[in-house]
Amino acid sequence: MIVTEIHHRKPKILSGAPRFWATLFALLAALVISSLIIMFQGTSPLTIIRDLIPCFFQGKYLFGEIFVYASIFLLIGLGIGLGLKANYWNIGAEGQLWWGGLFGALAGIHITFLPPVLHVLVVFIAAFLGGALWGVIPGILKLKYGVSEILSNLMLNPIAIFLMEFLLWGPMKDPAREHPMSVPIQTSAQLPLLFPATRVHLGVLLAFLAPLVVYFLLSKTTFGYKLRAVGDNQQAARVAGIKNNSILMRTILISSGLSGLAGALLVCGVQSKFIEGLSPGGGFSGYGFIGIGVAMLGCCHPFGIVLSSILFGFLSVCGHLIHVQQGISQYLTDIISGLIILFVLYSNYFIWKWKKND
Amino acid sequence: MIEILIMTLAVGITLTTPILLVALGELISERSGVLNLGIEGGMLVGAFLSFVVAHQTGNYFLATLVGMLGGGMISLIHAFASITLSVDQIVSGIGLNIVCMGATSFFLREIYWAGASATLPTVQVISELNLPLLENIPVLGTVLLGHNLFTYIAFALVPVIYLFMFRTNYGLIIRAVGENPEAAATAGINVRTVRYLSVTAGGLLAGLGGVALALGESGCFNDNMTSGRGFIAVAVVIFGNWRAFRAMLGSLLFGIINSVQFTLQALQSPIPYQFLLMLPYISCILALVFATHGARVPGALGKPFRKE
Repeated sequence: MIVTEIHHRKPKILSGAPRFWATLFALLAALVISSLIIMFQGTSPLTIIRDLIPCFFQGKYLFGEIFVYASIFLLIGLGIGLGLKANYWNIGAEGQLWWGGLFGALAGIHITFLPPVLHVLVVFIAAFLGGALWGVIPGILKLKYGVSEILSNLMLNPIAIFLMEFLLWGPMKDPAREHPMSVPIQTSAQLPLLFPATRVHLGVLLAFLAPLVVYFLLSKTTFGYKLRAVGDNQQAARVAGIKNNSILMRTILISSGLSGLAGALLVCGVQSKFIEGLSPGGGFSGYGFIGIGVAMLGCCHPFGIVLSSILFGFLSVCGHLIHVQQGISQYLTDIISGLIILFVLYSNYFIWKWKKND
Repeated sequence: MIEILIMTLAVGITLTTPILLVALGELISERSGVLNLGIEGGMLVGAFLSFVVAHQTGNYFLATLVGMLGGGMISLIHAFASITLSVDQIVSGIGLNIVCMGATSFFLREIYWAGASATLPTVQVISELNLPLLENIPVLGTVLLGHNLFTYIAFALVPVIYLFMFRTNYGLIIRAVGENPEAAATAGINVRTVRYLSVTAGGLLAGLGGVALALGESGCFNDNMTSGRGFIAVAVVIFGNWRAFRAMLGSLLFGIINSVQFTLQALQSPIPYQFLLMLPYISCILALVFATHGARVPGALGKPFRKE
């Protein structure tokens, strides 16, 4: 059990005024640095803001897009946040998302006899299982062999991506298409659009119900209580008669299952097929990594994660817009999400100082 | 057949170089008690900066220097976060990687973007060095010689870092700080300074690893071209039980696995290439599973030190 001995400090999950100011500081700092980068590129940040604002008043489409992105980030962020409550770092959300997408797509393509509502439900269950299946590997490696879940997850992400690339170029490829993608899923598995002239589908609405479930699970059930006890102090939890490993394993299953659901949302709602670039990045970046920032900015609280996922959804839409309008590379969004992670982390120091002075 | 084997081993040593350099850097950092996952980002920045400088000026010495400093800068930020702010080292490392990955891809486009179809520029890979006399030895000469300067530096650094870490007073101080910082502080050692220096030195080596990747191995820069080599180096340090020579063996293992993978691709093996590309990552996980027996973690690894 050596590698788990490497000290992890549980992220500070505080409420109230210090947390608010620290979060504000983090956002402002990330904004200032990205403005400097934009200025280096030769565009004035003010011009960008001036060009961005009217876009959001030209109809519902962009507003819808914010929530389409946010629903993905929300599910992943909830999973990572839940893991963090038990002091488990689920950095493998990226791979789990792909596995969820794969299982969801398989269920959506090959099951042909189900009526619409039931079919969607089956696809969701399949996706949850797909994510959980991939997430359970680092769980076993950690609990049985003492391998740090951080390193194993970081390695499992590219393995998953290579596997999906193989499937997309090989057995699952739609021969009628040039690009690597599967055949479309059955219409009974596709999530209906909710509003005209947007891409907001039923899955977005369902995703925003997930934080309620997670909140209930965390604060109103014995499992949630045990989960938090394990996260706070493993020794104390063990003394209190809690089976740490069983609680951790269940947390890992739910956490990675939620990432798998995000994959199903992409397959059934946005793309209607399994497709290359489902989550952008080759296993070292992508939605699964943005989820880390979402969970941290949301202080691992289900409702905090709702707010931060909407913010990250907004940032992603803005990233696309300024790419189209100003030709600024979309990698700016990656830089900003990384900066938010860093500054939320740094702000913990000021909270610590604040507490000390009180 | 035997030529292929020799060729695979020789290429394996070239592929070992970046991982070995980064692993040695991480070893110093972790021995002082700071876990630096941001070393992947430092490597990427080192590769990017050295490529840009080499392409713009053609001065490889300057490029190497700038690449190393870039890696050092990233680790300095990590040092500030984990030593001065004493925040979680894992998150700091992961956040830095995301920023570095985004920033290198962003600035690559800012500097070289010329339409979607245009190819990115390349630079000449640093030339191979042959040592006289030795190159005439059959087989061994082919495998061990004819590499670029970075490879010789990397392998020469192994005994140097071993001697420094385990046979000098400075090395003892670094290990003391990583093992028991309170005791070290009582003995009059400035824990924070030692950690700052160790982490930054590790970053310089990570930057050099990136330079070796860009200028010694590929001669170009692609998005996220390190693709996890920094994380593999962290695993190599664990696998190597925080010792220099065992870390070298671990790096060689990954270099050769990667080379075998390339050879199999070139021989058009029936295994789909995606499965071959997985090999280094799968073997990394396996290595971690086996490394857990009898390993000895620096006592204070990952723990911030606070003077109360």
